Amino acid sequence: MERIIAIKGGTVYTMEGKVLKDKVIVIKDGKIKEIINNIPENVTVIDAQGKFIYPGLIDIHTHAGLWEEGIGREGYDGNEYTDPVTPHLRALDGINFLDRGFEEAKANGITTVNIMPGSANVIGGQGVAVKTTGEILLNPSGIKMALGENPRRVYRAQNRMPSTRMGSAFLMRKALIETQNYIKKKEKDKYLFDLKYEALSGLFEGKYPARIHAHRQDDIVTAIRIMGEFNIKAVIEHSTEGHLVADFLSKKGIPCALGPIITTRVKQELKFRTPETAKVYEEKGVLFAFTTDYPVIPIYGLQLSASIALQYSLSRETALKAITINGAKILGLDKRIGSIKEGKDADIIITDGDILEPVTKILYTLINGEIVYEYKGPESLLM
Amino acid sequence: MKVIRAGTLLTMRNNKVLEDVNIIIEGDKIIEVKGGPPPDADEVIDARDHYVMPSFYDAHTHIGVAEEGAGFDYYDINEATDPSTPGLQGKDAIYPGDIGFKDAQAAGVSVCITGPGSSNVIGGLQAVIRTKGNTVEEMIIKEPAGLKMSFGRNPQFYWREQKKFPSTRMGVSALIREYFEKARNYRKKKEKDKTGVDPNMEALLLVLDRKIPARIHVANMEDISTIFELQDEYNIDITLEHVTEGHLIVDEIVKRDIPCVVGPFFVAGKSIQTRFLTARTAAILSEKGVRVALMTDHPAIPIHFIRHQAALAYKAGMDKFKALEAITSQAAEIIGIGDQYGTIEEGKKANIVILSDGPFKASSRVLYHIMEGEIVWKES
Repeated sequence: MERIIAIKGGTVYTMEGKVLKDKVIVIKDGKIKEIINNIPENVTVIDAQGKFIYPGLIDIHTHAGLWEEGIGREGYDGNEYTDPVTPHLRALDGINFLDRGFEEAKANGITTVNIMPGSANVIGGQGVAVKTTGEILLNPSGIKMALGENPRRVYRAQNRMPSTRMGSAFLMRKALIETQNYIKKKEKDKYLFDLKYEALSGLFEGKYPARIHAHRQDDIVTAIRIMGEFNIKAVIEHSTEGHLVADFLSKKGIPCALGPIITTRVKQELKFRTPETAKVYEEKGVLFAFTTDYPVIPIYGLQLSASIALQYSLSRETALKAITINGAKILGLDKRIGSIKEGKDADIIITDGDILEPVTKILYTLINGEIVYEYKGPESLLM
Repeated sequence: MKVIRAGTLLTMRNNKVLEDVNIIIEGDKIIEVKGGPPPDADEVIDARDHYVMPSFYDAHTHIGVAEEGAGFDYYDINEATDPSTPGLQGKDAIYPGDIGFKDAQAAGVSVCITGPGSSNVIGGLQAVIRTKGNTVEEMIIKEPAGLKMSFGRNPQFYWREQKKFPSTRMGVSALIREYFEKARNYRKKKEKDKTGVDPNMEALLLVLDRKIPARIHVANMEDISTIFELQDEYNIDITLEHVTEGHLIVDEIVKRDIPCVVGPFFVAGKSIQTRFLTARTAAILSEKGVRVALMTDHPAIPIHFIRHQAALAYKAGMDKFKALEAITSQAAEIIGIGDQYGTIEEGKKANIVILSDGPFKASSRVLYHIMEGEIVWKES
């Protein structure tokens, strides 16, 4: 007999505009079947009375399994430092799903992560969105690109282009122009096949967006300008100085991955990093989701980022959205994940308090209705 | 005279919490804490609806030395041209305009220790400073406050890459013994000949004469054991810094009663050296009776998140008061200024924060930060 799970009681933050109390969430075949008042017969009950219930958390910018934890250089697979333009690389091919990062993610309530190549290359490669159990949700989820300090630092050391911001922008533009040429040529020559241009062609077909690493406001604007020239959908990754150009982001309707907002500012381009950016985005109507850039900060920093932003006047509602449904929207996966709603995947977490409090613990993490983490005392914390 | 009318006062001495009391400040000191109506004063701060506690102390940072937001050229903590540089002084490299100091003021962090990084086995001398001042002279509370030393991956890998000594753990401890022996010989020679003053040797003598502790960067168990051997051989005072695997060797730390500065938590991904990194370490050490302070290791974690270091330690099972002491009274003790700083008691320096709510609450904001009697931050 197939198993039906019912989560009983508690305060349910559905992220569908409603906060429900003392209901029963019925899960069948890995999906949320219904939210009702009474426990049906023949079900496995998880008692959540007095607890808090949220959709599983989503981090849309990570390198989980690409930069593996605790094994040193052998596990650093995030940057192909040999060529600044590598759209044909696929993050999926570099992920070790046995990396402890995935265990830490589940233990800290993160049920979906978008995993992308690093930011050494102007065009780094294809990202992939996965459940933290390893199930692939979306591949590719976008083309990772990068502006600012990282590519120019890496390739300046190799005495190659790009060694300036102009160089990075030029290489980005050049690759896109070449792709346009390729698409035209391909109409006449059906044997033409180039992995790099094939990957970039998806951008022109609107299959997935460019996800562009940009910290400083000038890099953010450059990214949007270049993508605008080619009519390509853009998402700004990090967007550290986004508060300085929030009107522009809002007017252009560009979503942002914001963060990490609680990290070092050793790089010059991070000088104006502040948790206040979230509040400015809220005021200006910029769609954003927090990110840890894991393992740049630990994955439990997602909860902490939302918590810290409250001190900088972000509303509780937006803080919660920015670790759940907003990430799903920016990934284009909001039909499946990001809220507690009939028909959606049963990715649900149960906590011992308000998740926006820094001391709140995750008691259960469910993915597709299966319990993938259960709190059993402080020893079971992965933080 | 200033008076703070405190609703809830966490004194950070013996878990004492007082309700509805007046903190009376004269000049830079707390002269009295008492109930009843407030006395006449130049300024009365009404915090009857709020939490009042000592401002925060960060027991391990590189603030001002590794300047933030200025790029790698200003990352000035590692004189990585020689693995042993005891004569370097952190105070010579502190930039008072570092954005970290402004953040510290806004977040209620009054005092921290700062100085050299961990590329060198013997890094240099550290200073305990206020987080406000236009010159280093105004900022210094105590210096030298310790001699930074470093074990494990950081010095070992750094010098290995340069194909220089020391590139192994054996090399690291051999180098320390060599320098301590040199310093002992230097002391003997100096008794007869005053013409050979050597700043490197003088710095080492401060440690050998137990005038300052060696503050030792260490992650792994085997290095902690080596440090204990050296401590026995040279009879020196030490603190363990980071202590990533401290929870795996806790009994030995307890036996020796070594102060530990643990953290930082929510730091970047784990190397082999930090593969057992967990926020549990502080809880486990503290539970067994080890004196524990926490750190941001600023700029590794920005200094204004010191309060979150304590919140995470509490979440991971550390006693609530111990976690708060680790960023107030115990931190002040471990950096060597506990006689004057770190609690709210008569005679102590008036380093105080007023918080809108309990210190671990997400929405708790710093309403006032008072540093040695002066308001250095007030929420607008």
